Amino acid sequence: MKLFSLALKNIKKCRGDYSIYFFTLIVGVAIFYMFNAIGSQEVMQRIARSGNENVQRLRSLIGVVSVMVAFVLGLLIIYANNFLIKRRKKEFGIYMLLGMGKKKVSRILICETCLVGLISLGVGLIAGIFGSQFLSILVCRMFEVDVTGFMFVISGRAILMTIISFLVIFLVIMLFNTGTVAKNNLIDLIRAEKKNEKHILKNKTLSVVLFVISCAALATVLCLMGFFGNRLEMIPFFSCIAVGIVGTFLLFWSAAGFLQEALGRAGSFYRKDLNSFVVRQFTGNINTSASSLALITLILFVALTFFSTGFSIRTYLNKRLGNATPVDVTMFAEGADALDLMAQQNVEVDEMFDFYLNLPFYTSKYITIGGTLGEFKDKAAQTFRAARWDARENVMKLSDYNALERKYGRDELKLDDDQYAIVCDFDLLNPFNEEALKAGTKIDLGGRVLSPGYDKPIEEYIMMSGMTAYLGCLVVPDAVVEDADCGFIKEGSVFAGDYREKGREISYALDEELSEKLRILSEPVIREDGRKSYPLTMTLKNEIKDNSVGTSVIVVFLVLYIGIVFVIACAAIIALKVLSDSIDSIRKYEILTRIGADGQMKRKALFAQVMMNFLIPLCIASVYTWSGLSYIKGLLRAFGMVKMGAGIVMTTVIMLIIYGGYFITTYEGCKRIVKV
Amino acid sequence: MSKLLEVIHAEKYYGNKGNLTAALNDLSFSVDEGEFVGIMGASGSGKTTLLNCISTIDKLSAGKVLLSGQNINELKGKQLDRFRSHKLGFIFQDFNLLDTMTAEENIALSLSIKGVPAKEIREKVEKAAETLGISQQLSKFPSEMSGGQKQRVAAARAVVTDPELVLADEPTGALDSKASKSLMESLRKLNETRNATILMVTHDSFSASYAGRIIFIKDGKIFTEILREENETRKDFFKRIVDVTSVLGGELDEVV
Repeated sequence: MKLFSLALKNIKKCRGDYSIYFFTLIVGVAIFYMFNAIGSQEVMQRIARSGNENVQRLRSLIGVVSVMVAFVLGLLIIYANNFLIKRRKKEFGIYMLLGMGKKKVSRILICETCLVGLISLGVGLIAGIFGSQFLSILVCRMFEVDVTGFMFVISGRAILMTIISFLVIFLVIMLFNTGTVAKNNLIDLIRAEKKNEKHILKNKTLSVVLFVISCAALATVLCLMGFFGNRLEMIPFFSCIAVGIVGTFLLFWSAAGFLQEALGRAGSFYRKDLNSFVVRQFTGNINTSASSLALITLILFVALTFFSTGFSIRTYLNKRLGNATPVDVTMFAEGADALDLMAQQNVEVDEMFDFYLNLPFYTSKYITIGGTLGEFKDKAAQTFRAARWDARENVMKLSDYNALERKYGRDELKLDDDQYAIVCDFDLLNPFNEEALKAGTKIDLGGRVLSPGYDKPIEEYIMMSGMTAYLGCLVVPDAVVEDADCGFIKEGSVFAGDYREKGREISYALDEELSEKLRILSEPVIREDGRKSYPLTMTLKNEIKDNSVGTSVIVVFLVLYIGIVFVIACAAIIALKVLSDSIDSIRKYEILTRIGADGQMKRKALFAQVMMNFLIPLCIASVYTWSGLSYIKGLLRAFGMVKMGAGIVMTTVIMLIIYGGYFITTYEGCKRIVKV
Repeated sequence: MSKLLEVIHAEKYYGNKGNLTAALNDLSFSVDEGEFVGIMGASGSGKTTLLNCISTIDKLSAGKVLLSGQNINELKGKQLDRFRSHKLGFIFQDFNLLDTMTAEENIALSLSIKGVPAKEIREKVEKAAETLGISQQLSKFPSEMSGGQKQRVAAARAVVTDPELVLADEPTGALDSKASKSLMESLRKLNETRNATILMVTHDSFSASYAGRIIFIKDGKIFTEILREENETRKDFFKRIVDVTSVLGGELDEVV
């Protein structure tokens, strides 16, 4: 019991100094629980009712990511713990000097670790349970889900996972701690406080040269990725990453010498107030912790990139969803008319729908998919090797197409009698279409020649489709289709309709009914010419929405989870480092007081010191992120995503909250410690 | 010569109502401009308390400390910082150098704090360093210097701002006898060439013998005061100091 009370007393004593350590542990536990529990939350069932597989997918993904997160958190906690233990070596030395055996000291430490672990695990779990409710409500807001009649859910599975992961981490810490006591001699423990100040790399020339080299290398890589990110083939990706990592480490290793040299020469700056002191403190700090600063910078970079990309994808999905579902149902009937097909399957179209369009489309032997590309067909063929270029292209009458446009709330097309337009929302094919249109590719319909009415393909859809892109169609003036010489035959029809009965629940029921009746038509059939075709393809508004929201939810959760954990890990390590340095600085600030530095001067010096520690890794990571995002933008272009603005705004907000919070807490803590 | 420092009826109590300890008990003395005064006494006699009160690190319970006629107990906040940076210079037993900075930067820092323009700093630092014989050590870090060198850097830092009063708290306490001797020579040189007024607390008779006047304190009161006569050798002065300290250490009637 005496051991226990001593351990308890130690923890109480340390509470002030180590509050950041405690806080980080608790937040770590809470986040771990929150994300593991999210799959069980009621909200997820509500968001993705038909997309239950999405919830399953999210759960298993979070499970996998959690292993990684536990690893990162474990490293963070071990680092922080070692840091704190190092500061207390003298205390252990004194215990031993007073005759306490090594075993007993170890037992005190084990006792302490257990207490710290249990307290933070308990508090963290409680915080996590409430936090996950909060997260649910946030998610509802994000995806506009009804929150009435919400249940308070506690996930036993998540609690178990959290406890197991953190028990393992604390067990490892216990081993580390007892090792510290066991392997050190008394003299080392007692004198641990008298650490030697390492001095800046003596060879100034070397550090200046290294600094310049690493700056140049990094600048090259950053510019390459930043300015030519959209030309993927130009970038040797892995070499860039390698140069980036090595360059970052080199940069920090040489920065101390370089900065001291550069700033030391700026006399009027260096000799003002406490500037020389601040610069020395800072360069000394970079010098002793160059490697961890470099690592922090790189982790921050990963986190920032994750955040920005993830949120951009979400915004894109939501936006795309916003105008992707103007009607309840769209159908595409090949080889027959959609209305006839539905009638065959006993669908009472007039009863079910209060509004619908059934627009015929035609084909002609004169118009093939390859033909519309003209001389650019061969170029496109290199990208799409499996495409059937001699297949007939679907053609719609201008008046029919414009009727659809009106229903979908889009601008109508205008064509002269001898013009045509291409409608296509397949981003990979569109560059070739555009080239062909710009070149004025003409289509010869057995004597009647059409030229492009627009010099770009119309990037709109005919069938609602969510993410997948269907091949588009050609739009020609009505008179052309009616001209018998052009050889048009009716191929099928496009159907777009709204249910007569409105409401979320009823629409799901109607979806069900419709799918059931038309199921037989969704099986592929082999046509006379040997081509496989689907008599009727149907897309439903609800299905598209659920799928899209499901994907969006997965992206947002993974991004938040990984990003937040990484940022917290970085901020916590910096905070601990700065706080412990400030304990070393107590004496220095006392000296400054004695030689007449006033309170304001000292506060300014302290602020500058704390700020540089937080800001420099963040600034460098931000620059990296800028070039990284440009590269990712290039990667995502195939899916039509090009805007990163929303993601960057969201990232900035999150960083301000987490990182800024740690910064302020640390600064206040330092002020308390050095008493300025 | 005018009185630079006056300590008038200084009293300092520690503890609470039920248990008061008087560290300074109605103590009065004065120091003239350009004087080199030593304060001696056994441990617990109140020397450090006195120095702390003069240096504004601590405050008197009663009485006054006047520096150039100004009551320093009335100074507050910024005035106090300004007072410390402009009028006082400190030398401590354990040097109190900033170990992350070179000797030159340590000395220059007190000028920066005082607000001296960058252009003048270099010259002033070099002059002070030359007086104290550390010109060769300026680019070294404290950890690369010997104790004596460090203390001379501290002394240079104390005098480089041309303070009205240099306060030295056991400056030779952490030095060996050779380093002590050369430091005290340096302090005397400062006193003579720069006309620096020095108030030094010590319990080392040898170091004290470099001063011009010694004030002995016992139990918070002035026990006695001896002045170095003109033409008196340092050796003779030293003997007189030793005589007084032996009496100070314990009067015969206290030994039972």
